[in-house]
Amino acid sequence: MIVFIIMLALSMISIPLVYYLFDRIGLKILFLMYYLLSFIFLLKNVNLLNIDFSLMILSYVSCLSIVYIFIEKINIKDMRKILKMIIPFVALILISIIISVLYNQSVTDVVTVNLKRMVESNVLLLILYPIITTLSIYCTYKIYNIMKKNSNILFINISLTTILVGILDCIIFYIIGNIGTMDFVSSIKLGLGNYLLKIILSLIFLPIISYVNKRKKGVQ
Amino acid sequence: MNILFLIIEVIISYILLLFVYKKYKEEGIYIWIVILLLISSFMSIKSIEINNVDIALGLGVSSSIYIANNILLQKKGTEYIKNTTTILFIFSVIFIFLLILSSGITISEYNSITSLMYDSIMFSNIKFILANIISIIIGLYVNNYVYYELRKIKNKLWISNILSSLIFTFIEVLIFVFITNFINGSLYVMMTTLVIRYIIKIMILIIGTDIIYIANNFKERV
Repeated sequence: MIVFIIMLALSMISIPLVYYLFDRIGLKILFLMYYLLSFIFLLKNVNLLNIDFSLMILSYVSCLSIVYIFIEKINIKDMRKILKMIIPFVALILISIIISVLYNQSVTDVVTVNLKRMVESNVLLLILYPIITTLSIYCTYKIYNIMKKNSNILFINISLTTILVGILDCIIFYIIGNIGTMDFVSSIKLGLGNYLLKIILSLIFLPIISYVNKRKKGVQ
Repeated sequence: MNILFLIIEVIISYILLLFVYKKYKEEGIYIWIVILLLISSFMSIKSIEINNVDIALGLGVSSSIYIANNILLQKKGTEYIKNTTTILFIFSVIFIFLLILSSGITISEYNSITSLMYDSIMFSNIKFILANIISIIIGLYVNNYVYYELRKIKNKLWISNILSSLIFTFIEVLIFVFITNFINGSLYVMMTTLVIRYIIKIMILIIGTDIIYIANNFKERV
């Protein structure tokens, strides 16, 4: 529990810190870094207070918080640019994973066996992840924009967007992604755990989003 | 076979670097340097065999970081890249801390084998990730200084790139090999790894000189 709280605190602090130090470019790098981290964390399921969820949800919510900051604080043009940027970098991540697996390991190497097993047993989850998350980030951007036109309250806009998009990137993603890995009931439980955590974490990140929105621009 | 995969890795890295530079200009280069540092660190946990010597993976990917940095250096001068090392340092600290902490959380009973393997990989290989990040940040710092000084003496791109590569690669490889082998590696293993890693990296970086020339021409056409 303590470790998770430290991770959460670090993720929360990193957003205003990076924005203050490096401005928009810092947030763009942070967005892609959290995207990469969520890909890595996808392979670890954790249990906290009897709730089972994937650790990727923490980095993924950090990613989405940066999306909200971009829409609110910066401009839509930059947001579109960042969405387009995901594609070449996701391609790069996938290529590096494939190349890493293809190389013949040395005799002393013990990592490859575990890595191969991890990839093989979660292949559907790993293939679906970039597709579903890219789609859901795009949906978040679209839905949040619609919400913003009707209401100016950050809490309502973010909560409703999270509740709606969460059905896609938590529940549907986990049901399809875990076919063959675990039974249907377990997939639903894990998906619901992620859904719940996504809503809670989005609310926890609210003060950070609102703080960055109120802050003057960082140093370029 | 591994040599062939290495060539493919280098070609893909350089092509994607040119694509990112053409499409997103300097901003793309900044993002490239940070994200590639993190990807290469993660790749370095796997070791492969080249000429009967164990080499950590990610040579092609990490070399493209230096080439990206030199594109920026060539185009904008030292003023523009002053922030690079600071950016790399801060993002690396966040990345490393989150990775280390991630292996310390209680795992769930769902898909527990994958989570256990994740913990074991992270726990036993964190030194490779750390070594890669530290060596590249120091390497970049040295490169920026040497490249700039060489440019002041003789403003020839290929001279600056090749000569600075010869110097900073040695320092980078030395740091990496030392951190990854100082506990249980023999002097013989350290020396052979150092020599092979140095030669391969120098070759990749020399090829990268052409990429800097191509990137410079891109800008002129815009």
